[in-house]
Amino acid sequence: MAEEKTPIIEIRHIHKRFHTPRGIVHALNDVSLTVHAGEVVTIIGPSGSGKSTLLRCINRLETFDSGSIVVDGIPLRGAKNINLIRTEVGMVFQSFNLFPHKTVLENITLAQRVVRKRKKDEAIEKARYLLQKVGIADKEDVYPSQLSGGQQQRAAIARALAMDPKIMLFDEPTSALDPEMINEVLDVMKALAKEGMTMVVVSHEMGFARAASDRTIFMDAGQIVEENTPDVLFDSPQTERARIFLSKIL
Amino acid sequence: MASSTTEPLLEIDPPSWKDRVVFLYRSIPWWMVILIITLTAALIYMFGDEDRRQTMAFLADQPKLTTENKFEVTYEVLEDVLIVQQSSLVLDVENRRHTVLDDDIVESIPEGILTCPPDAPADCVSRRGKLITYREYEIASDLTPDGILTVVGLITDEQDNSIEITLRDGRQIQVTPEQITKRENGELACDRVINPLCEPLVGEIATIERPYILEKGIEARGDALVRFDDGYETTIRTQIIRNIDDIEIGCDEYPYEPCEPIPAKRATIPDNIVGIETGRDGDDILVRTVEQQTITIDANRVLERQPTIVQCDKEIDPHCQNFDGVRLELSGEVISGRLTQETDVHYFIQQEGRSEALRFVRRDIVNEVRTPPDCVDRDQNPPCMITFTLIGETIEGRILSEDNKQIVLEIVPERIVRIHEGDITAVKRRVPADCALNNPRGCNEGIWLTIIVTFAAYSLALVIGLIFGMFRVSGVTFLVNIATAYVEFVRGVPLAVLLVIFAFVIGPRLRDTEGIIGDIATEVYTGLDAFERTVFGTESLLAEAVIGLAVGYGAFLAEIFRAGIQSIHRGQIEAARSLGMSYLQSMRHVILPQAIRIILPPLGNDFIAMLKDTSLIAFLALPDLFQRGRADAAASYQVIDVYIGVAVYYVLMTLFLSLLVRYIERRVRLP
Repeated sequence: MAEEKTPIIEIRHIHKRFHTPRGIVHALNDVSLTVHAGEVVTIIGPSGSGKSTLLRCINRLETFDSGSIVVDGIPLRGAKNINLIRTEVGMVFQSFNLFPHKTVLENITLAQRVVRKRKKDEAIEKARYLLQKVGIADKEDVYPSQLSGGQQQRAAIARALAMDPKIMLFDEPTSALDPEMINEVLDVMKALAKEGMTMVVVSHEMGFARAASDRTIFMDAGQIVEENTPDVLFDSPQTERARIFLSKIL
Repeated sequence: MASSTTEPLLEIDPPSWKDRVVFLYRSIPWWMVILIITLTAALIYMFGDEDRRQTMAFLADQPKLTTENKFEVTYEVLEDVLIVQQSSLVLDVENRRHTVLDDDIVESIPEGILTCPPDAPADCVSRRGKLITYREYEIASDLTPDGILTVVGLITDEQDNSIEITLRDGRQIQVTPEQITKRENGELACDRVINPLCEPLVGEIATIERPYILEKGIEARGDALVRFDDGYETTIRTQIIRNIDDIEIGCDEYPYEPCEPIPAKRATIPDNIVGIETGRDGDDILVRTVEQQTITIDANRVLERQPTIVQCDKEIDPHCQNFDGVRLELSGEVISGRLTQETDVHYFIQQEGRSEALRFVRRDIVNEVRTPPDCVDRDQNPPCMITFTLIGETIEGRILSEDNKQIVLEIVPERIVRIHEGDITAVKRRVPADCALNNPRGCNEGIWLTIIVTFAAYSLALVIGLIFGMFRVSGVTFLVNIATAYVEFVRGVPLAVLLVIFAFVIGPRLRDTEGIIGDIATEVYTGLDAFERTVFGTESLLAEAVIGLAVGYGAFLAEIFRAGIQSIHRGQIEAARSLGMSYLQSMRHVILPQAIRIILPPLGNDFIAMLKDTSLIAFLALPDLFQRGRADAAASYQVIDVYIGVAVYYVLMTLFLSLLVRYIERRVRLP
């Protein structure tokens, strides 16, 4: 899928520490990762291993203490307009985070109009196209609370896509969903991967990782422990820690 | 995927009658029912108890509180008056004024031009207007008369070469013996238009030929002496007369024989009568007019003074209230001036510096002195000067001010005016100012001020609260500490103290400060005062009150806003930021709309609390509902009526606000 090797996310030796009353938590410990344009990377790892923190560092929802992250050629540290980078990097959250006071359509048009300064008609047209794409075209006038979890997550994906991002980050997009709704979200993500979107996905969905991702990364204790193709990583992990982890979740 | 989105259709049973009753019971707004029952019970108690009923009847008896008498009314009426005498003030080419009686006007051209004569001085200007041609009897001896008018009159005095003739209208003229063409003993009817009870002129009646010349002039003013039905006479401008009818004055009340009906003119003029309706008599409305007059009395005239209760005329108005005042025994006033006209009943005196002659009734006059002695009104050279004293009088009233020269006294003569309903052309009602339970209009101003202050202060408090609430959650240490200090300080100061501080400490302090801060503060306060002058007509501490209330409530609202913002899940701002929105954009479009929905109930709560706390602006002497109530209670002693009224109005206003807040909550509620 990602045959052309243009690095779009370059993470170099980043460290992230949380200072708590009980001591310093080393959330990210010398993490380096390069993601190329059109590549789909899945990240797995136990709870507290720093997967989400790494993901959130990419669009600077979290700051990092040292190292460097370059997104689409722009270094995050010292970036003048972080909002400009964020528009290029779409993010989908575990808990959807749709705006409950706005209808599905308004959820998708809001940022287009406020950030991208698009005309109302243009924004609505885009939103309808994306709703069609994620399969909830008939729900544009309802509020998020009236949707099922799967529908909400698909609306959230559409909302992120509406900004025309170059990269999509998924932070455990299916872990808050009932089992029967997981597939409808994964189908959308697979379709997206097929279209050549650069994606970094934190997820334990092995099916998705195998079917759609180019690489799978196993993280533990703030470090990248193993990096491999999904088939290799899931079937015959090279490290002890990965093997123990996978034996627990499978 | 499509199958998972279709919802299963559940079969719904119709509700049982028990459920219906339960739902109906729950849907009734019981709080309102309880309130209505409480209020009704209070009213029944107030009217049911004998003592209370008497109190209410007493209150209702107070003229200023009863429903009928709530208004002071201006009736614009058309009244019929008798024209006693008409005259015109005319200007001639030399700009001299002449008063011409209607009888002497020969011709009147509405659009005429008075041209300058050929030998006129250079500054003579031709005049345009109502051109009047009139007879002038005082002619220089070298002029040839334009004509001769024959009149009859009674010879009242005869000198060698001058005979005094009294004409029918009571005027006296001097003629020479040659002018008299006929004299015989007889009787001459007097002019009953001028004096309805005049005596016929009996004696030697002369027929006189009065030569005259015709003069022209432009009318500057038309005057008419008119008499109302009750005998009151006044001079009006002829231009206000709407309509003139020819009538005849009959002989019904004329005591002398013989009597013939005489022609007269009746005019319809507009008049304003201000008063309170006290009753009706057929088509007539009886209006009690109270004319508060301020009169100035020469302090030298006061012979004796004593405090008294000024009695009002209970026969005119049984509800009128006596008031504390003084009774002044006055010596008669001394009047002096030129005697311009003298009739059987009246003297007309021209005082120095006044254009119109004053009329005095002869009966009231004592100690009359004329200079030269025995002069009469038509003497021209020297004019007849007269000095006399009016009979002393007793005046009761309220002293407004006094020094050793004069006393300013307010007197309140009341009279009942009878207005025929058909004559009324317009009625203007003025709401009296008293605020009480049975006169809500009287509270209007106070209610409006309360509402204005509430809305203004609350809007400002919302802005302050929002700003400081956002400071509190901003995470910027400086802003957080500023906001916390503000909240903690202001929350600890009683609102009343805060109001007084803003009005009397901070405002003046800021203005007195030297330098730019003082300049800005002065500018701001000047602007606020100017605004108050334009909107409310007067400067007050209103702006200070609004600012004080807003700052006081801003602290509470800041805490509410902070809680509201913090209650929104962190994921919301992360989602907004991840879409590229700035912090403020996220706040505005995502966080605040959600936070406000959550904090609406506490915001509404503070809104209502603030409406009640506006009563504290009474500290700054602002006439809000409470302050007006206090003033009216103090003035009328109707404590129960006023304060219960004030309380009820506050409840009504807060109920309205409650409903408003509920409505807003319903409107913004999310599905």
